[in-house]
Amino acid sequence: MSQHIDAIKDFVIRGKKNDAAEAVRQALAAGTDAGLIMKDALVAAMAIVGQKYSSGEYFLPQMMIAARAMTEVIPLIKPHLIGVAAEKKGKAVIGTVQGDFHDIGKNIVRMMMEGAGYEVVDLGVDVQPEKFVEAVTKESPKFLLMSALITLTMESMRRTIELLNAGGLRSKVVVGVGGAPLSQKFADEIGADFFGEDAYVCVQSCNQRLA
Amino acid sequence: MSQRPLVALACTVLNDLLGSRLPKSMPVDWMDISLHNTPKKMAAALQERLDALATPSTVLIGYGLCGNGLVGLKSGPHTLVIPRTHDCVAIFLGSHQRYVQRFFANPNTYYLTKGWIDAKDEPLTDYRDYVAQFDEETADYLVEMKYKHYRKLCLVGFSQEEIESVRPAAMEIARFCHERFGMVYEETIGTTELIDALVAMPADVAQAPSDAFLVLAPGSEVTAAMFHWTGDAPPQPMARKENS
Repeated sequence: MSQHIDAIKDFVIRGKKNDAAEAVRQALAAGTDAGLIMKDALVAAMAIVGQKYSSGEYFLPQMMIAARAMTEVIPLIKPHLIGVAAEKKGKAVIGTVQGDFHDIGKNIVRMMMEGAGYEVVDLGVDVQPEKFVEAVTKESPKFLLMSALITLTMESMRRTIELLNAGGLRSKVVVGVGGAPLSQKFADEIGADFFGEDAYVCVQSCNQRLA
Repeated sequence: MSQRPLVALACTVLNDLLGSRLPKSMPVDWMDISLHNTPKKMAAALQERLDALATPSTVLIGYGLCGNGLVGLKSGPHTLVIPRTHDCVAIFLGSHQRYVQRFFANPNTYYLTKGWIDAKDEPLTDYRDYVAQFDEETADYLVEMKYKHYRKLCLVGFSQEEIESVRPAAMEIARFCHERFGMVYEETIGTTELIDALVAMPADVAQAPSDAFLVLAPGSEVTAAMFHWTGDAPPQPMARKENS
């Protein structure tokens, strides 16, 4: 049984989506628990991919295809999840900020959050502060995750947090921010709850705040 | 007051624009263009070069804020003169204001410059590299993810001659981007205003204060706030010319 898990994990790490899908089918046919595949193959694979990215062994493309492989096999596993494994951990609203169309990082975070068991409401790109606030009101998410790649658009995050404050919503949602030009200092300065240095750190930061 | 030696520390993207304007006698340290892809490593790379200067100097920095890449750079014993722009596209266009205006009118524009084309840091080379490294299907997926939101591809040059010299290469990239993503190609000639002003800075830069440049005294450190101009807020989407 563990060979099935190891095979899936390995294919996901290498971004081999078709091989990963085939390995998942075989694992399920052999009676491997779907929850175990999620946890020990997919989530574990993305943790390794995250570490490889942080250490500089992996670059963006490897990260992107690994996340794609994971996303493509989830629908095969989902129908077989039962009990606790089938439950969503919580909801996250996500998007790139106004004026920013760079969504690679945001999409990787979305895929990894979904893989980790979160329900993700993706507002897409170029999201105005008002739209984020509207989504927080409508969806009541546990997390609001915003990303930016351009120094000119980062300020929009501050505006969104100001609007959340003004609307009395700030204490109801955990705000995480990310993107290449961002830093912990900027996150602190605008009053975000955490800075996701990369997608893996973002998922971990959300996990830590679930309790 | 004795004048400090003038030196330049610049990104290779400015090789033609800045290099041709500096006095032949001025030492210039050209930095790898690919640093812009890893802004978190940029300040350290520049710091190493600054720290290696033997005498306290006035250093013309050929960078903008560049994805916050300059944040944390320490002047040490030197005086730094830095264009107060968010990136090199603004330097090519000649001013921060011109760039901001263009950016917020069409934020989904991919800018090409001769430097980036020469360094093969553009979508078509990206695609070819991905095909070689992975396979065609994966390459299709990767470029789709990276470039699908762009509506325009804009070649920025500081002169008509520069634009013409890279047009054939730019057109090849443009055809690829148009077929794949429907991106519309355009060209913009910037001005040499900002670079001329930078080069004209006297060794005693305090004599020539300007909003367009940061003059960092010895013992200071670059912060992101130094690059903030009032009124940089994005206009409402109604003001956008999304697909024009």
